[in-house]
Formats: sequence, C-alpha cells, structure tokens
Amino acid sequence: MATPKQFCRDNITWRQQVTAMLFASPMIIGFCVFMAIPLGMSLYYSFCDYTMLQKPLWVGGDNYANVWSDIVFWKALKNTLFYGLISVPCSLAISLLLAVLLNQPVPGRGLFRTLIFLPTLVPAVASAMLWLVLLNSKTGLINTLLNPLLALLGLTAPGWLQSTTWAMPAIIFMSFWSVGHTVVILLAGLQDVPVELYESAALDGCNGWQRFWNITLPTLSPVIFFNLVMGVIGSWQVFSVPYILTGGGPERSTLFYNMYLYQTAFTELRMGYASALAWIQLLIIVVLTTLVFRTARKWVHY
Amino acid sequence: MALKRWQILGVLTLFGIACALVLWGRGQNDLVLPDGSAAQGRVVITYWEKWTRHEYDAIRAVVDKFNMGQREVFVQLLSISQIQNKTLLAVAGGDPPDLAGLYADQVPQFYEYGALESLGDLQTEGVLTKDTYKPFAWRIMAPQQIPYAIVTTPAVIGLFWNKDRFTQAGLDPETPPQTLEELQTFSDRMTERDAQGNLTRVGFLPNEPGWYDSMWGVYFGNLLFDAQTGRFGINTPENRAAYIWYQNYAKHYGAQEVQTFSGGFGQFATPDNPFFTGKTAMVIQGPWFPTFIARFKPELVGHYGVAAFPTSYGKPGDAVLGDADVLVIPHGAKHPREARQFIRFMIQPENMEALCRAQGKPSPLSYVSDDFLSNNPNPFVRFFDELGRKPGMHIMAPTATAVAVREEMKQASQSMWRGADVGTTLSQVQTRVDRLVAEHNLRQAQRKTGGQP
Repeated sequence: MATPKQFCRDNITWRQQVTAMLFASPMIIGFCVFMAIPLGMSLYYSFCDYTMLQKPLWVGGDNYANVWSDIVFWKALKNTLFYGLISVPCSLAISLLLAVLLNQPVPGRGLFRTLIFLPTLVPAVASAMLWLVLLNSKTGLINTLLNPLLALLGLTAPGWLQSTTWAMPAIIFMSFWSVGHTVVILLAGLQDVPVELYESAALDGCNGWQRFWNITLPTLSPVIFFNLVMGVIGSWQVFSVPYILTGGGPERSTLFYNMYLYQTAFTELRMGYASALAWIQLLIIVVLTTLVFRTARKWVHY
Repeated sequence: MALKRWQILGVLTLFGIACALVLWGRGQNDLVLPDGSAAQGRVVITYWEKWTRHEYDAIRAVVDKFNMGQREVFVQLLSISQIQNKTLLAVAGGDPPDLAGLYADQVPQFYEYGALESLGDLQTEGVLTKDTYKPFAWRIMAPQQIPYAIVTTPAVIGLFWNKDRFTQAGLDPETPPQTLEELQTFSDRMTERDAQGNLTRVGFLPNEPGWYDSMWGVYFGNLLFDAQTGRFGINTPENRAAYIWYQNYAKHYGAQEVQTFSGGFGQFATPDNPFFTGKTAMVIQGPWFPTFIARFKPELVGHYGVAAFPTSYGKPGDAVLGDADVLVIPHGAKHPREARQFIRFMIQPENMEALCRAQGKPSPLSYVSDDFLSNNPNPFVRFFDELGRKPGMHIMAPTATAVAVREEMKQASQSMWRGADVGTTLSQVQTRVDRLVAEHNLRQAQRKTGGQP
C-alpha cells in the first residue's frame, strides 16, 4: 500500500499542486497578514515601550515585571475570573435545562426554540442598550417588578449598574440572555442519544432522573465539554456589553481584562504594556483550557 | 484537477467585477460643491471631525464656504465617531486624514509622540499669534510655545441653576451661590424626599454628570500639574480638602440613597437629563448646555441661569475649568500645504465666529465682535466669553500622561464617594501616578539617547 507521500508524488501533478496552492492562497495570505505577522509583532512589542506613534524602544521584560505590581491588572484579572467562574457553569446548566425542555414533544416546540435562539441574533450593542433600560434602578422593568415583592420584606431593589456589589451580578445575569447557541448545540446532542438506551433503562425500571443522570448526561458529555471549553475562552473575551453598560465602573468593579487591555493600548497609548497583557491573557487561557482538558478524562465519555 | 478554461475565465471575470466596483466606489466620493457643481481638478483633502447634529452642520457651513471661495482645494468633511482612536491608528498606519478635529487632551499626547505637524510656520508668518487667542486657548494650542493645533470651539465650565427650583425653595432666583457653604445650603433647601425617605429631588450633586470628577481640586486652589517639577498635584492639602468636600455630599445625602436616586437619571442628550427633568437644580456644565436645553427642554429656556463655580479661597471665577475642541494636521498627512490653507481660512475671525456662533459657544479669540456677542443663540455667551478671560483658568496638564492620570483620579473619586479614606486614596493615586510619569519620562529620555538608560 502506498504511503501518503508516495501517493502525492505519484498521483498529483505539479500543475495540480499549483492549482491547489492558488485556491488555498487567499486563506494562507490572510492568515499570515492578519494573524501570524500581527501575533509576531505583538510578541515583539510586548518587550518594548511602544506608543504606536514612535518607534518601539526595547525594554526587555520590564512590561511583564510591571504587571505584578499593577493593582488594576489584578482587579481586572479577579473580575474576569469571577465572571467566568459564575457565568460559564450557570450558562451551561441553564442551557442544558432549556435543551432538555425543548427536546420534549410539546406543542409549539419550534416557536420556543426560535424564541430562545432569537436573542443571539441581536447585536451585542443593541442588547446592551436594551439591558441599560431594563436595569434602570428607577424606571427599569426589572426593578418595577422586583420592588413590590421586595417591599413585602422591607427591602428595595438595588441600583444594579451603579452598585459595586450588584453591577457584576447584573452583567453575569445578562450573559444568560445569549445562551441560544449553546442550547442549539446541546439540543442536537440530545437528539443523537440512542433511543434504545432509554428503552433498556425503562425496562430496567429507571425513573426520569436516573435516565437523565445515567444516560443523557454521559452521552451528552462531549457536547458539554465542547461548550465548556468555548465558554471558558469566551469569558476572557468579554468586552462590548460591560464597556457600554458600565465602562468598567463603578470603582472598576466591572473592569474586565479586555477592557483594561483596550484602555491601556488606545487611551493611554501604552501599546507595549498592552501587548504584554495580551500575551499573559493567552497564557491564562491556555492554562485554563489545559486544565479543562485534563479533567475531561474523568467525566467525558466518547 | 487542473482548472478548465471557462473556470479561469469565470474567476478572472469575478476579479474584474470586484476591481471595477472598488474603482467605482472610489469615484463616488462626495466631491460635489454646495451649488451642485463637481469639484474636478482640485486637490482633495480629507477632514475628520467628531461633531454630529447641529455641531456638524456648523462646521459643514464653514467648509462649504471655503470650498466655494477658491478653486484649488476641496475639503472633504467626514463625521467620525471615536475620532481619537481612529486618528491614532491612521497616523500609526501612515494614512492619516489631512485634518482631524480632536479633543484638547489629545494635543499633548499626539504632540509629545511626534504625531502632529507643527503650525510654527503660521506663527512665524504672524498668521497665528499668541495675542490673537485667549490665554487658556493658546496654552492648549501650544504645549511648548509652538502651536500644534488650533482651538476651534472652547469650553468654559460654569454652574447652571434652575430658577424655578430656586423660587419654589424660597431662594432668590437671580442669585446663585457665592461660596461652597452657600452651595450646600441652597442644595439642602432644594432637596426633597418621599414618605419613605427616598430622594426625589436634589439641589446639587458633585458627581453629576461626573465629567470633571478628577479636577475638583482647582476650586480649592490645587495646581493640577506643576510644570516646574513635572509632578501632578494629587495628594496635596488643597486636593484633600476638595475630596473631603466631595465626599461630604455623599455622607450628607447618603451614598446609597444617591446611588438609587441617580440610577434613574436619563442620558445627557435626552429630555430625561436630570437637570431638564428638575431632579437636580444645579449642575456644572459648559457653554454647549443652552443649545441642548433649547433642543430637549425648551420650556426651561429663560428659567435658568449660569454663574462661575464658587471656590473655597476666593470669589466665584477665581478658578475656572477650561477645555476645547481642536483642529490638527496629523503627521504624515498627504496634503499638509493645502491643510494649512484651510487652517488659514479657519482662523479668520469671521469664520471662527461663524462656527462658534452656530454651535452656541464662545470664541477662542481674544477679540470678539459685538455682533457675535449680541446675535448668538447662546444667551450666556457674553458671560462665557468673560469667564474664559479669567486668570484662574485651569486646563488639563500639557503632558502625554494626563489622560491616564485623569482616569486614575476618576476611579479614585468614585471610591472616595463611596467612603474610601481620602488621604489614603489620594496617597495611593499619587504613588501610582508618580511611577507612571517617571517611567514615561525615562522611556522618552532613552529614546533621545538611542535606548541608553
């Protein structure tokens, strides 16, 4: 049997190889121009003092060293980690619950699926503006509904986006608004669970919870794993919603890592330091993703 | 599989169509003069400006006048959002506009990093002179005595008060507070609560709208930046006094209550602006504010006044905050000569006054015509013009680090509003800022010596 190398040599002509390269060239050129070269440049700039308007000045590891004593960096890091720790598992749990419900043969199922997916089609800026109105402490719908209930307990609804305590929970709550994508993927996974397994379980006398815990969840675990990895990465890319809603305030309580990076680069013109922040962010994402992959051996069943 | 001839032809045809569309798009630029004739044969220069709505219309009229008044240059005016970032990237990318309408605080940043064309030649020719401008405007234009920008529309900050609210509270509607103590007393008299004790209306809140939270120290005699030592004045006795005063408002009305109350404030440029709805009776704002009142709350016209903000150490007006919109030629502009031609036109008093009048702002020029002051949509333009001539005008520090320092102070003021110890907070900010400035100065010095420490 021919090896792939022999196959290439024997069956693909030079002309065919050129043709293939020509077809692939837009992607290769695009990758180099928009990804590989900027990546390399940003790595170089992370070791420089660079304002974008002057030539970069080599400063060695100073940018990385300065990060340790930067209190704003630690604040942004803590905020982003907290957001990820709460938002990612909660979003997954909500998505799973919705997917299981939407998988039931109930009337109007298509309508519900559409309604749950619909918010993901709304641009982030538009949905942020919408939530700005909903979360208004005086006139917003949320407090208008909450206040009569809380009044029974002698409490009042908080000023969501003005409070250092409640601004982050409000943004986490908002993130549940766009679980539609995850729901669709989980729904597809649910429909792939072999019916025979449920039939066998029913014959063995398993109740609904046992079927979910012992069949649905293990079968769905690769899909959950995929969404978990994407969620962890996504939590480090949060920018537009808090940028519009709070600008990182009050008192930097909603300052996310990307917002600090943007502020450092484009407001303070410290592009070298911002590049170092970006590489540290990449490192953190790699570590977190690796951790998720390591744990996957214990709970993901292929 | 090799490509067939028809496939190659198809790809080439698509490529040709794409090129044609690009070329057609380039030809569709807005190169038509106001009278409908084409601006063919002229040098086209691009001008990015941040303004929208009536402010854009004002600069549009000036640009149209320039385009109609000569046959060599056509200024293509574009309204650009986030202009500071886009101009920065365009300069870094080597393809900036020929003219950019930036904010005053970008001038030291861009100037220090060599991103602005000097206008020193216009100064040498006597076209652009220090005496022509109000002193604070010149300080913005020329961070180191040589102009790198022109101020297009200046801003001088004053205290606006709602006369109806004064009358309702039994105060003289024609007499604004003269001291900070009076400001507090007046505010208390106009503050109302509902049966549950929740704030429903407040006289004055120093953190509304929050645009100048980093600069309260000037009203207590603080020097924002000492040019001699190159140090920002943050943990100074005057600044500490300012933020104790600031924090006292939070303690007095209750930080939590104010937070809930101000959560219901609408956006600035909407009818729900708290000053328009009467939720606040006094606010610090600039000369643009009357135009917004006329637009969003016309019933308030004639029922408000504006005065200099009181100080802790003297009369109102002894310390005044100044700001401005500026016009610059970014470094690397393709047509710097033609851009200068437009600037020469722009700084002529009649054109400057036309722009400022249409925006309802005072003029940056030291000489102002009677017609400008008498026939201006801003009923308080004379007041702002006089305020802008005060010797106690404060502007942002003329250094590249000023923007970062302002952000630090903004965050610190939020912490202090919520009860953080003033002395400790300002001390921490001073340390962080000193370090930032020292590092910046070191790097700039290293650049001059070729990277040597």
